[in-house]
Amino acid sequence: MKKANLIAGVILLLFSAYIIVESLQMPFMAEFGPDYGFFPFWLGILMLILSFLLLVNTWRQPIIPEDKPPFTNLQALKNAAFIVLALAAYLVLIEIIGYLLDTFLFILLVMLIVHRERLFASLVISAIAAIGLYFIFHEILQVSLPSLTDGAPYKNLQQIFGGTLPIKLWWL
Amino acid sequence: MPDTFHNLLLGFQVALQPQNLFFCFVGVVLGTLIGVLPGIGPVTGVAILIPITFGMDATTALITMAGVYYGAMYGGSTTSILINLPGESASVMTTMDGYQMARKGRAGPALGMAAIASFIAGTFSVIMLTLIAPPLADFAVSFGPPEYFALTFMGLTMVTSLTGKSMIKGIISGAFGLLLACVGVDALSGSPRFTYNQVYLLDGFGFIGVAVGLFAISEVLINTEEVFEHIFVQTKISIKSLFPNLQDWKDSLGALWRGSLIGFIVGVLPGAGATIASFLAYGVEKRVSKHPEKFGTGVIEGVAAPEGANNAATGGAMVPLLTLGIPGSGTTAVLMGALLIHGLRPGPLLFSTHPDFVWGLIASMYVGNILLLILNMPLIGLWVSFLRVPYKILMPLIVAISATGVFATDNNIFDVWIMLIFGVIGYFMRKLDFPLAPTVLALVLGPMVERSLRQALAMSHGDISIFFSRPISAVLVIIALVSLLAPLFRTAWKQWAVSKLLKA
Repeated sequence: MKKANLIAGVILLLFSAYIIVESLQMPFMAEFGPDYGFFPFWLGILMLILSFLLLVNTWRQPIIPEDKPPFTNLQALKNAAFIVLALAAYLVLIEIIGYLLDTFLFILLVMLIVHRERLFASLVISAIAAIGLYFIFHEILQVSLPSLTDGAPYKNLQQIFGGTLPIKLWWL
Repeated sequence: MPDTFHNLLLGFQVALQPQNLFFCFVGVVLGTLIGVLPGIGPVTGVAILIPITFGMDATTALITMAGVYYGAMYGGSTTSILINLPGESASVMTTMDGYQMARKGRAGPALGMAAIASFIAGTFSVIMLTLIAPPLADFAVSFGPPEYFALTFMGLTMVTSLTGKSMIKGIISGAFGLLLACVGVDALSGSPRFTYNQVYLLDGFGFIGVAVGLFAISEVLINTEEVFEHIFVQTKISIKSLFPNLQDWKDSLGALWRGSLIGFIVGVLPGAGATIASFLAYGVEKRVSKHPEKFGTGVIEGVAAPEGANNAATGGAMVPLLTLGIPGSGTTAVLMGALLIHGLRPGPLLFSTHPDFVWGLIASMYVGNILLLILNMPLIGLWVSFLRVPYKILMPLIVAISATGVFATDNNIFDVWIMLIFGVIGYFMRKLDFPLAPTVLALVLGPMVERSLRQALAMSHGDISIFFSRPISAVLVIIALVSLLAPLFRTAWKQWAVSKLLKA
């Protein structure tokens, strides 16, 4: 934990230095009062002092045996990383394959890989969840969600079939 | 006084008409649902309703929308307690102790207390609204930029100095939030800051994306460690277990009336609303408590105080709206828009030209509060039963709901990317013991802090003593500084006392 605090302190130190540099490029004082560089500048200074204090405090602290280092569970880290990547993929794909399909796939993948759930159960739950969410947000709350029919693959398919697809997919 | 009473009776006559009663009911139900769903807050809910209420009578329309407003305050606390996801910024403080109570299997009493606190405080604030609207409005008008700066500064210092074990980390967290608030177009000069030519950043980091990311997404990421061991306490939830026990009542009594009072007064101040009311109430409660160190582990006063405050603030926010025509918060601004659309001009004349409307609205708030209490008690069982769903299923659902909700606010995918990024940031913050609440609160208050600071310094031509020469501002700033320095003095005093003892 001590090491983690030191690293955090250094990162914050660099961050505050960056803020100070950036805000110095903004006008500091305007005619009648502080301009828009004033506030971030002083915040940067505050952060600088605080990160320095953090480093000093951590340095001087004796090592407490019960202090667990924060990142020990490798499996947990892998799971967390997977969720982040899956969510990123979700966001990239949402306007390509539409909300319903994308949400279904996302929940499915998380259940299969992170939770190691059985295939059938995952399929069922993901389907129910995706449809349920779509219903609540799109139908009841009238939120406009990206649809499969807006995305590029569908439009390409449409062109191949010369206009309309034999199967109606408007509900996706 | 007899005049007021007479007016109130008139108001009840209006509010209890079947049509108004029905739509009040619709409003509070919708409001609760909106509050429960992350990403959609009372502002959106009320705004969506405006076109739907076009055809209605003005009184009915406003009754519905007001119902949504305080219904959402209640709903937001449900998710705060159950899954540590604040439904909107006013519910952030409820997560501190509410979620901890849920983890200990006391979700029922927490939700029950939230409902009861909301009811008591809401009713209190409507009574106050009835009695002292005019003089309080005068007081609020005397608040200038130095006072607003002092108030927001005090709110921030109370929160940052109270949360977590390390005050340094708390203040860093708060400063980080203030810096986040600087991103975007600066309101006073019109120049973009920290936007790096990204169009999406011109409006700054939206509160919803940051808050949902920092709280909900990071929670999901943290919980990956316990995926295989995580068991929510499976307690049987009956209506009885919803009621806080006698000990809870005793503990919360003070919190309730303090929260209500603080909530109402802060709500009256134009620009300060339920959010800052909830932090202040929590901070004050922790200060006056006999066991401050237990706050954050699941003490019932930690739920009663902010919940009471945020509902009391909604009543308070109606004061400047109805008496001065100044909206006290985002939601009241939308309400004011609705009023104007229906041809009613809020302001001092409203009371005399349309007494049936004003008093009908006020009376409906009493009714709405009662409806909320009755409605939500049985529904709590429903919400809590969601806890029974195995976490394996709940977890991806939470992510999906969060992402959809955040997307729904502005139909902008960028907001969801913000949510993801802050989810990762929140994950690291939690791992490294940096408290999350100060960041979110500073993000919300940041623009007001900066604006009032700059305006105050402009008023005084750069002289800092303006904050101390004006009485209200001086009091608030001193409280803030004491908040910050007291813990330091306490530790220093302890060390001095110990060293004296050792020498003797």
